Amino acid sequence: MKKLMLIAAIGAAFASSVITAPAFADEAAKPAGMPAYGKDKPLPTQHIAKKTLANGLQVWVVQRNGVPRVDMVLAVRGAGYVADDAAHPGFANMMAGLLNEGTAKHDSRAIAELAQGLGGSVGGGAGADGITVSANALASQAGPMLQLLAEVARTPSFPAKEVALAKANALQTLRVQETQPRFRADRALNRAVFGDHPYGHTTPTVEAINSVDEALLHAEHARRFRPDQTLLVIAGRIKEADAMKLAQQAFGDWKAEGAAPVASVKAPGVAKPVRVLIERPGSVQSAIRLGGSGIAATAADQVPLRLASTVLGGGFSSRVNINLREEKGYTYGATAGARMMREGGSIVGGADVRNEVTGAALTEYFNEYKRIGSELISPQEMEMHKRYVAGGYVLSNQMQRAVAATLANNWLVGLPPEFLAQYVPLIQKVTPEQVRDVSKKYFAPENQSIVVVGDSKAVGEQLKAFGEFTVTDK
Amino acid sequence: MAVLSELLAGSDASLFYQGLVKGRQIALNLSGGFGLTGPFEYDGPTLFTVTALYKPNSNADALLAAMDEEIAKVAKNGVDDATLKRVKTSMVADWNNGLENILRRADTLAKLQTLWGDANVVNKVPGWIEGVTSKDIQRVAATYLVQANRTVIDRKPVAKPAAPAPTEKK
Repeated sequence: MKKLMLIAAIGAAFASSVITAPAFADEAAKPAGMPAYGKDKPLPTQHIAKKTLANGLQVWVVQRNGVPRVDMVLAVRGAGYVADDAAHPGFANMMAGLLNEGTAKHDSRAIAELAQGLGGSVGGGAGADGITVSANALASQAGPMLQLLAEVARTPSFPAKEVALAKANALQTLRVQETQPRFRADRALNRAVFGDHPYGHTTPTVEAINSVDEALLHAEHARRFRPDQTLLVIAGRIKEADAMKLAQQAFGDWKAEGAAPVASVKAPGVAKPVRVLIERPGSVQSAIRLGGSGIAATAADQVPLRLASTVLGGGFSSRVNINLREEKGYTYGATAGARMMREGGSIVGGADVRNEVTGAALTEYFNEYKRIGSELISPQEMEMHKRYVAGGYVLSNQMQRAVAATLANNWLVGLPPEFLAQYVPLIQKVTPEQVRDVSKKYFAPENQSIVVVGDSKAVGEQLKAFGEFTVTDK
Repeated sequence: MAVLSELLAGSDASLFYQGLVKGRQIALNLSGGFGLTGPFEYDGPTLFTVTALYKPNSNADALLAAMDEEIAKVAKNGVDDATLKRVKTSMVADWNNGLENILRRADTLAKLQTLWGDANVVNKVPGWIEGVTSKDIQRVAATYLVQANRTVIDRKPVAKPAAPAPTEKK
């Protein structure tokens, strides 16, 4: 009851503005008589030393005086899911995972023990655009750890025993994932948005896992891993000159084996909206997803679209979460926003909701998409979300690991090192008109595909209002 | 016990991971540690927990037997110097890393002041870790990791179209 009254009070406070629906916690959360926020302190900036080795490998060093640890990220562009052909979806992930399972010099266990002894760890992971191999160690052990990182990245031996184990485990993991509505919904939505582009098939299939062997791993490693497509970021308590020297020692004699770098292809910019209902008999919830084509991370609209995504569905105080979770009680959490990669992107919204409100939840999603694309956002709401983005940036980049990872990921998608420092100031310049205009363009309801994982008997009727759904079991 | 926990289940180099996920290949994944808290942030009895997902061709008993074997080896032979040094180095590094984030540093200091009556414990923990010997490890393994102290939860989901690998807890 109290909460209802509070919301009514805020509604009155905003009566003169264009905001008509959900009230925002921002001003309301401050008890009466609280002073205004103090002036923001300038954001900490990072000095990034840059060098390109003779073989084309780029090295960036961020010297910091934090904990006595050094973090290293080796990012290989074009080596991620984008390089997986249609017969081998998800292959990049298996290859990345196998890097630290054996090299010419050390077996899997020896690598794990070596890393532990250096006070850190080393391992690879795959993303849409690249494979990253990350390592960290005590500052005093930076040299040996960089050597170990170079060893697993350059000379993985893909031992038969480890490959067999990785395949067996991948098959089991896939079986577990197939039972999760979220996994099936995301997979179907990616397919709807990206079609045959590699971004549309980033999860493995049984056939793809079974087709992996040592020969394929060696061939793909030689093709994808090359110094002229690679960035090494070193961050932590280490002198610039020392870091550069260690990088030269570990990677200076690395030569590309493949004929030419892997060429990636632009993702389709327009996807025809589809309606898919993935059957999950007896389900008491529906996993709903809305999605459409988005933009690449370097596209002109990217900064306003990032802020629009935050406002619409980025954090707890975002519009879809306040509406679907806080006001309607349809779900535990609702999100929406843009995902941006090097060659394109997607717009993805979604929530897991009770069967009875599946249709109502979709209606609310579309209402919010329409509203943000047609009405100007109030100064208060704008300010709250800008502060949220700036605060989050400060919190995450106090960690040197995060700085190294952000720099590497920005580079993979094509953003310059300066973007790290430019991001918050650019966000602060975004106007309400820009938020409205990019939202109108990218969150247009008529461009969104809908994927629902649920029980067709329980929710089929509610979905009729949104078009004709293809019912499938996969 | 903190060092033993790390030795048994702390990372990919741990005895349980190498013994069950890699060596015997009966678990899909495995993780372990001090229940909901860390080894230095509790007051009163706590739990050492291991969570593993076993493969369809294995079962909870096989996992327990394998873990018992690994524990028995430690209780009988202790741990060699090189391994103990590795484990300690990694723990001290982890302790330092946990203090990098300002919020976590404040949180840790507050917890240590509340639980130990002394926030300066933050500076003592590395020394405590360094002081642990192979004999200490043998003693705590034989004292605490015994069957009478153990609770096992073997969770097998039912009524799923394709039964996923169940979860097993000890």
